[in-house]
Amino acid sequence: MFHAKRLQKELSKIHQGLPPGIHLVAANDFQEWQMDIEVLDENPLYHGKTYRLNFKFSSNYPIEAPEVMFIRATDRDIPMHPHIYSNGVICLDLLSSGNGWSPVQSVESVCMSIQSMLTGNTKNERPDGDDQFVLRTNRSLRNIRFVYDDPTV
Amino acid sequence: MKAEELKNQGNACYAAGDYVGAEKFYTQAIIKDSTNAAFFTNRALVRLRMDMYDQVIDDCLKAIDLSANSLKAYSYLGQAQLKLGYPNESLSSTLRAYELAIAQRSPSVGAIATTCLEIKKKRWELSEERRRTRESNFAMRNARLILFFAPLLGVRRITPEKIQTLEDVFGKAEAERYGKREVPDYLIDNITFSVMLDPVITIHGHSYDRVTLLDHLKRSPTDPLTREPLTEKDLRPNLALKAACESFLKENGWAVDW
Repeated sequence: MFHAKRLQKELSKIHQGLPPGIHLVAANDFQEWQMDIEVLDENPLYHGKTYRLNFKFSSNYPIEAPEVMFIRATDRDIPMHPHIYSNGVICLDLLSSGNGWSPVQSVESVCMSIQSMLTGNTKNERPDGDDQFVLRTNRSLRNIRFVYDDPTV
Repeated sequence: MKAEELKNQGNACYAAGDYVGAEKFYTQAIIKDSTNAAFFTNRALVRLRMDMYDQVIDDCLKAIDLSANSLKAYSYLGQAQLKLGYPNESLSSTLRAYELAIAQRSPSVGAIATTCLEIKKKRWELSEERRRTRESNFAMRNARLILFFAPLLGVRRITPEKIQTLEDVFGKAEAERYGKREVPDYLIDNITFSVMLDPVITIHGHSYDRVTLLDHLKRSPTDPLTREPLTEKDLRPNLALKAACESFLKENGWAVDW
């Protein structure tokens, strides 16, 4: 598969520079990368905070979407957002393996989409049913079926 | 033993890593029945593993005689030709394998496409090597000529600085040739981020490399850039772009790994 080659290319492009507020934390192999993102405007929900994203790539990347979620680390919490569960799972059309994902997307473009998803948010809340969802942690991310029923966010 | 049984014995040896044994069984199968292309392609593969490239070519040509659309025969033929140092022949065999793989919807099409690009790189490396040797011989001869005639031109002493200057002039010309290593965006596939081998254009006007786009369409029948509905029937070869990619890689084989 060409996923290693493609990620290698993304990596060399990343080393040439990333958009403001997006940083590479670790890319030691072609299975998992970590990225940090900051929200750059004055949004009080996220001001002055940095969040960490974990990317998991299958050997079918980029035909298949990567698994992307927020992870906790020192000084890194899970951002409050009505589409982000408290275990870091992100409910974003772009990342769903159905028709949301497109292979022309990249790690960089996914980071930018998530950054703007935070920038535009004003609600200090978790998705409905967050508690139950987090309890079912043993389910694979890929099998989660989200319902995009809230067009306001 | 029947020919088919001998072939199966050969396959068992091959799977166990016993190439010598496998080659023997395939040869016996061919002696029993010399009209089965699969016996020849199987023997070609085991001989490829044993570095017997001339014999691989014989087997492949025989297999192609028996079965003109043998994907395996063209693929092994290309590998042997490359090993023997014939990148042009190797490329045309492997491109034929690629066409057959597309037509037969073979799962190995991705690997064959990658091999085509690798061969293009190898071809470029070989031609670069030849050119470098040629040029460095030429530069050396000229440098000697200049030093020889220097006294006649009024240069009394040939100092190390002067020799350095001479080397710099030749060196600079060389460096300029290799300094620029950029691939134009329009040759790069938006899915693989590599130079395209076989670009196809969609009804929305975007071009992609065929193999990976077909892979994507299996999962999601949409144009990756516009997300509009798209099926395999909507694709046409983009011949002009294909020619542009080909001629770029001919001069810039390094771009395969870029």
